[in-house]
Amino acid sequence: MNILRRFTLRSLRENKTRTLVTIIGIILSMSMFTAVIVGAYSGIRFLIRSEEARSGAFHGMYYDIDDETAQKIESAPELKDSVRWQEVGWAKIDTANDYKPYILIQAVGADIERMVNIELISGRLPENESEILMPIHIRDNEGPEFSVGDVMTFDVGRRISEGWALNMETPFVPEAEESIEGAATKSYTIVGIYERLDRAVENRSCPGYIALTSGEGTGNYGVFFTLKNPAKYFDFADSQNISANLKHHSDLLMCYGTVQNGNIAKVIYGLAIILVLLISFGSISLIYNSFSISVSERTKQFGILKSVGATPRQIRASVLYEAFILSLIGIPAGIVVGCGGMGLTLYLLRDSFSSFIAKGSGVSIRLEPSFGAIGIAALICLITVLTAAVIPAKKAMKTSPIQSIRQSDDIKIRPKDVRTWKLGEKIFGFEGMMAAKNFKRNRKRYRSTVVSLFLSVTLFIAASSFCSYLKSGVEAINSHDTKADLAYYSGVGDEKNQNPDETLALLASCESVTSGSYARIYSEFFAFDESLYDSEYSKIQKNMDWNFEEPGFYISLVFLDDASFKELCRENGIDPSACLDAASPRGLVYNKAIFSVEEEGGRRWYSTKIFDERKLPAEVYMKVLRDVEGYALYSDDIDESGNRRLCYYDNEYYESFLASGESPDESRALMLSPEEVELRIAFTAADVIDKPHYSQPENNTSIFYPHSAYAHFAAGIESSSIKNYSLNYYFITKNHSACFAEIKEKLMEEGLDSGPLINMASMNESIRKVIQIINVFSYGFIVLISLIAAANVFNTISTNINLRRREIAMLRSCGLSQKGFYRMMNFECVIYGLRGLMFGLPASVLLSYLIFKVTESGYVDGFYVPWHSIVIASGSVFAVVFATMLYASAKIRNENPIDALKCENL
Amino acid sequence: MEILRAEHLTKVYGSGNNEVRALDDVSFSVEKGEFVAIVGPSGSGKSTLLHILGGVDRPTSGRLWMDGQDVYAQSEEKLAIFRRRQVGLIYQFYNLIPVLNVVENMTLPVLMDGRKVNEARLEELLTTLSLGDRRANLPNQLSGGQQQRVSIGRALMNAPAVVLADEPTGNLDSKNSREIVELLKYSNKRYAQTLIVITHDENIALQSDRIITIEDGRISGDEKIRRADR
Repeated sequence: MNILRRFTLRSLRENKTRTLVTIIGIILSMSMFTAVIVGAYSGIRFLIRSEEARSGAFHGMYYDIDDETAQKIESAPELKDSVRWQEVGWAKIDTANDYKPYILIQAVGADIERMVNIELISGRLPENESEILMPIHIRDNEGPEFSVGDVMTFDVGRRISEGWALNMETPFVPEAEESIEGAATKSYTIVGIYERLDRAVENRSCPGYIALTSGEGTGNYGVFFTLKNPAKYFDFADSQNISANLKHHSDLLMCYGTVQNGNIAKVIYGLAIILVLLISFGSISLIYNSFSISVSERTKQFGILKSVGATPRQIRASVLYEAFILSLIGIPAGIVVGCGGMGLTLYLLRDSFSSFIAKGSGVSIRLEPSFGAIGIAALICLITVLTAAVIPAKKAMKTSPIQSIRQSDDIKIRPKDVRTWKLGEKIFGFEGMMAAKNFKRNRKRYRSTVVSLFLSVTLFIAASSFCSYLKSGVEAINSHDTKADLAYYSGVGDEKNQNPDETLALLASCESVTSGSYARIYSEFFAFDESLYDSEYSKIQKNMDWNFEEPGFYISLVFLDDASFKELCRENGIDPSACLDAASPRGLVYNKAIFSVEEEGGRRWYSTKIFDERKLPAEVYMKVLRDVEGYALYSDDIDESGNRRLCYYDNEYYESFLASGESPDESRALMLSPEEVELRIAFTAADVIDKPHYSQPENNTSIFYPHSAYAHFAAGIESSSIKNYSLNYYFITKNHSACFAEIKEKLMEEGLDSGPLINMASMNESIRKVIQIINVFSYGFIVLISLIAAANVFNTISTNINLRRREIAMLRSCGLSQKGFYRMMNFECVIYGLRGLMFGLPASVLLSYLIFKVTESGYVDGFYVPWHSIVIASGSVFAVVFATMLYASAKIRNENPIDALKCENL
Repeated sequence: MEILRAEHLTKVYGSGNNEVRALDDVSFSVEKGEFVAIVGPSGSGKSTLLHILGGVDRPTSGRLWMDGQDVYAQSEEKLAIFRRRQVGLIYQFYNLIPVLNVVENMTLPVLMDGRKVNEARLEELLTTLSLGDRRANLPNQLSGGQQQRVSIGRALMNAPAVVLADEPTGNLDSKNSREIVELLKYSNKRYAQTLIVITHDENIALQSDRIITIEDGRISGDEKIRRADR
């Protein structure tokens, strides 16, 4: 073996800790690269598989082509697989959908399932020409009733308009002349019922319900095909010259990244590239540091090698060889760790993925390690390692051998470089001064530590801000919904609803209900004095395009059943007795609003308080319209002179012209000015609560009253136009779907309408799953980035201390005590930490702000300094620095100073 | 035969007020097989001169000819090969590679040159240097004298044109010092090895063929010693 290689290998073996930390660094980097790239690949594969399971594996479909054309297509070398069907014909049927007057019978073979997903509801596929598989949507569209085993007869023929045969892509236009010609009567036994074919096959405007039979038809063919290389789909399509009769399976092709616009693969890979860049940044700094230290530690050895005749090329080869050896261990281990980690993550999240992307298809996400993807990851990692190794070695190659041997570069300092603060010396003593001088002396070497601290802090905070903005974006969508799982909206007028407590008790008796409540909710404009405005709202309000006639805001007034109200008070630490006072009830205020305002450069979202909380309690006035006896409100307009006019008609006439669809006769109108019909009902906004009741969404300012207080306001409310607002029931459940079924049954037993029972949880579920997935991935990412950062700092500091062994031995031989030694080291830690944070914190706040700017157009709570992560980052910086120092100095402490002094290899 | 010629060698460190002329227009030449001692007070520029002669530190100006070749006119790559073949350097602090054993350290220049080790010469050197039973030891398992003998072995292994020694005994006790000087003298005689030694030790200087005295970066004396044994 080459002597320099032997030298490299021995050096690696001698410096076990550094070698190990470097390998760990490479493993971390590689596992992150692997996780990101393989994760992205698996994600796309999952999308492809679930799309294939949902609609079918075909990439494209030629329709209405003759046998010759079909054969030509089928023999194209680009094709991987193809399956045909043949038109049997069209037959008129009667359904509620005016644009779907036909049944379209296609003859398929058993091989059709290779290309198109046929989702059987009951029965089986047809096996001969007299059997038929019927689509369920005929029945759903009030078509003829049928079930498996029935025999149905159709007059099957061609669909002809003005002499032209029409195909499944030609929509039916009721006004146009078209007819079924050459009809023959055919009887079929229904052997199965299946879900409508995916829209990629039977699109919305397809005039026929597609039913499938077996054997042969009489009409033209359709060819479903897959390509060997789906990325070349459009090239293939262009080369066939029959693009007019080609349908693309866009949803599937999109996943391959082969659709002109809207392209999932590109988005996922784009995100992956951003993450890869971030990781590269962290990894390069980690690996660079460990090599730069290893090189500076070996500067002297390189000098000796050079003085006995090693060429620069040989030195570089030695460093590259070292990098290569480390990669040889680190990269395969990283692949294993990365695949394992990503595999486990995907395994744990498989249900979340399946439930919102591949619902019911039985497809679940799994790790799909592609050798190509892993190869790319390994290549990126190898390049990262080699780059990180060569850069610091460049310097060692340039300096003259004698400079390297003397390490004179390291001693090149001027007195003013190490001048320290006199007062600091007095306060922190000799050890503090030494620490400061040490720090200043070795600027270059220390810079790498500070830089890695800086990078770690910045990456950590930026990554967590990014995740939190992303999450708040998704959560914002969620904030418009109430947090209740089930809601039941019933008219107040309902007879059975006269006693809501009883109804609630009945409905909430379901086993899995954990909390039930009812509420009367009135969302109206509330007028109140401008002096009550929160300062931020007051600013936003000036630019708002909403035309308020007077100061105020849109607020939801909620009369909550007393039990729930007391619970709400308890949760917010408020004594409910004042609010429950029947003589003068007070309301609880949820003082937060999230709304968007049209501004220059687009719609912008704001999240603000509305009331200045120091000014509460205060009176607010709900502005509603008085109920005009015997009349109904028809319009609320601004007339020519700019005055608001309300137009009423008497109830009887109102009903009659609405029913006939005619315009009303304006001479019969009762025109009123707002002053004449306006009604103001006073409420008291008192104690502020931080979390609204689950019946209310979180983006909405609301005032809560106990339902028992309703009587106090009933006179006002019931003389207004809002008197008929519904009374709603809300439930939190352990199992929303079971509970939904149970409550529905109860409602039916009681003879109540079950229509307004809504399962909100199932609607919100997919959003929650998305949040969960974002959470898992972002925390995973942050943890890994933090690990890289910690390894980075550990590596830098421990080797730094190692390099100073001789000097520390000297200080100790001059009488530096154990305690003094630790004091000195601790001061250095503080300097490190402060330096890292001094640059890291402003940079990360700036970066967070940039991220905020980028995501602002979506939705944001306004910019906030990420205090949470700043505290964590700062704490971790000091923890890591101190732990490392402790570790390194414990190793030195047990050394005999003279040994270290004599050790010339440092 | 002239093996080495220095022409107006000058080395300046720093600039302006901080300027230090470590070497100031030094010219001399050395014959093949000559044993030259360079003496002078601390900071006179002896070591700088030696490093420039060894091709490990560039002069600010001036030229160095060795074996008919302009040393510093070569590329960095060629210069490395020059060092490996034409020069053997011995330092006060040995400068051995700590992770390589005695034999590996000694044969380093040959191995880096990609040539085969001359086993006979290696054995002879090991015997001469009394390192025969230490061949597999790492430097930190050797005494100072032994380490210095390894570095002498490394310098001689390639039979270079010139062996340069920078205070080779500066860190050793008198017994070891005497042995090292004897070894250097032996190599000078046995292989007609050209030898340039920097020393503070008058006894060593007096055993040489020629003493060059340096003061303030200039040659202040250059005398040939005629001795009975030569």
